[in-house]
Amino acid sequence: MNNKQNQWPWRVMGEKVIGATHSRSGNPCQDAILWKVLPEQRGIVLAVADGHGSSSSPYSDEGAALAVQVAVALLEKLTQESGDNLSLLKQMAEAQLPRMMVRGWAEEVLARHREKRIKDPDAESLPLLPGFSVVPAPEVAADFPEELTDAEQGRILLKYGSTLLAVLATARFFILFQLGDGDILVVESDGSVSRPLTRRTGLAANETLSLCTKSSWKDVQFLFQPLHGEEPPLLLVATDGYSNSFASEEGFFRVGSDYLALLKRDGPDEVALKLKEWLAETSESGSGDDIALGMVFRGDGCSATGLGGGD
Amino acid sequence: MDTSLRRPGGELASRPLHFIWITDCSGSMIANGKIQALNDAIRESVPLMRNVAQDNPNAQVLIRVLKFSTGAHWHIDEPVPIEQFEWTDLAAAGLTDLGKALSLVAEQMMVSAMHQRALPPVLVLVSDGQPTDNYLNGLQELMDLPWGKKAVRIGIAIGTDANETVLEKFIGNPEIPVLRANNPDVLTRYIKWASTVVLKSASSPGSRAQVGMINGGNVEIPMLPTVPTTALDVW
Repeated sequence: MNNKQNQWPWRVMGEKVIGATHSRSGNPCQDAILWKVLPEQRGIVLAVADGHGSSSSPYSDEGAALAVQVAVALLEKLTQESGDNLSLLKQMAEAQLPRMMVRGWAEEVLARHREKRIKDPDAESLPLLPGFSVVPAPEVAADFPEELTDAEQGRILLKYGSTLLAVLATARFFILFQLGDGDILVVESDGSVSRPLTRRTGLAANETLSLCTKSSWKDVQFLFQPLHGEEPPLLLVATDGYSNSFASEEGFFRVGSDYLALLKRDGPDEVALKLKEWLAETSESGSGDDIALGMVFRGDGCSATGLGGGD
Repeated sequence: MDTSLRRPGGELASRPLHFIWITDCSGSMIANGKIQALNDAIRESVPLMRNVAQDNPNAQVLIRVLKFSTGAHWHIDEPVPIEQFEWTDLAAAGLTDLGKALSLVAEQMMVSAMHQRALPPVLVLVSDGQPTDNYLNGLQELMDLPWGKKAVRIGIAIGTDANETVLEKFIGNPEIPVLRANNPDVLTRYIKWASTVVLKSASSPGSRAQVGMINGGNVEIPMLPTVPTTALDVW
């Protein structure tokens, strides 16, 4: 490992805004974002998620929040367990990470749902437990079955349905992970922008792949990219409310080169100050949808320092 | 020199929402003033559609009109923003070539014709009779396309001669009934409902997981309009 690889190149920032349409209708923001700067310069983890928001997914805001928590925890764990062998790490990540993410989210959702049924006295507002034809009394509600059939689990998971996009950036590699709509953009030093994980075809009209569908781990798009001293200066991760706000794909891709230029010229602190306002303006004049945007960027080309993690 | 930080990215735009009237202009629509009642009902609904669009600036409502009789033709072929849309009366004569109409709609639901960021389109089929061509071929072409399958499809039957089974197949969702209008007042109510309440719902849908999406997909079909029980049936 050379000195370049030992240097700590990455920083992170992010923001989310409630969509203009959601504001008008009184609905909550169903996007989530979470990041963590890992200790001992092991890397930066960033995740965004977009709860479905349709009536069949009434707790999708919670599903999105759980999704980013699971993603950050699992990607951090990956850095703890990884050795120096990048090939082995790549194989392990490709083989296991999609299943682990989906399973981890499902376990968290089922635990949350169980907790909700036990604690919330307003049982009528909650979906019925499998096998009950009427709203159960609280003491019955507490008797949440330990063993659920696939169909029962599926019904519960759908209520929390969400997408998930995540990035792990270390000094030696980065990982891109995507399940469902949204965008991960890679911005090169010359300002060129690409979307390495291509969009799935055959989806239309707000239809998305989701954590909540059966065997959804098979739908995960994944990239493990070793770094050889030519790491891109900026990775952007956004829910689809962002790209849907632009009149053209070119207009959306321009956010990549624009953010890179702004980070270099004005520094991350200035960009962070304006980020919420920009996203709100984008939703207001664009899709009207919630937007969550996270950026992992190289610090050495920027004019300010000191950003940390948060949610 | 302007040193303020400009919003990153290119031009912003609301999301297109295609609304297509698919209208039966066969000869039987002349009887008892059906075609004129349809013209009047849609004309009356236009200002209401503008109001709905105004309430949701994040959707750009685009209108087209397709007519079918002997063959099928676009009455208004280019999508017209609702703010500029003016209704032009339809005339009736000829057969009921619904299959050809659905084929024409299918052409416009192809991925190459739809913007990826478009909202679920709304297709409203109004008919008073039996198809005179093989409508199942046209319907299959439509339903083979992701945008056709996920479109919000509403069927309005005019009079007792309208074939409800055909409209049910077009709708493709047992939870959405065929709306039967047996007089001009009820027709007007259904047309207004489709062009306002359904439009509003389609303009701000949530997302939905891929599995099991049918008519309208993620669009909640609102409660149907109430119709007066005392109105006389004239069709």
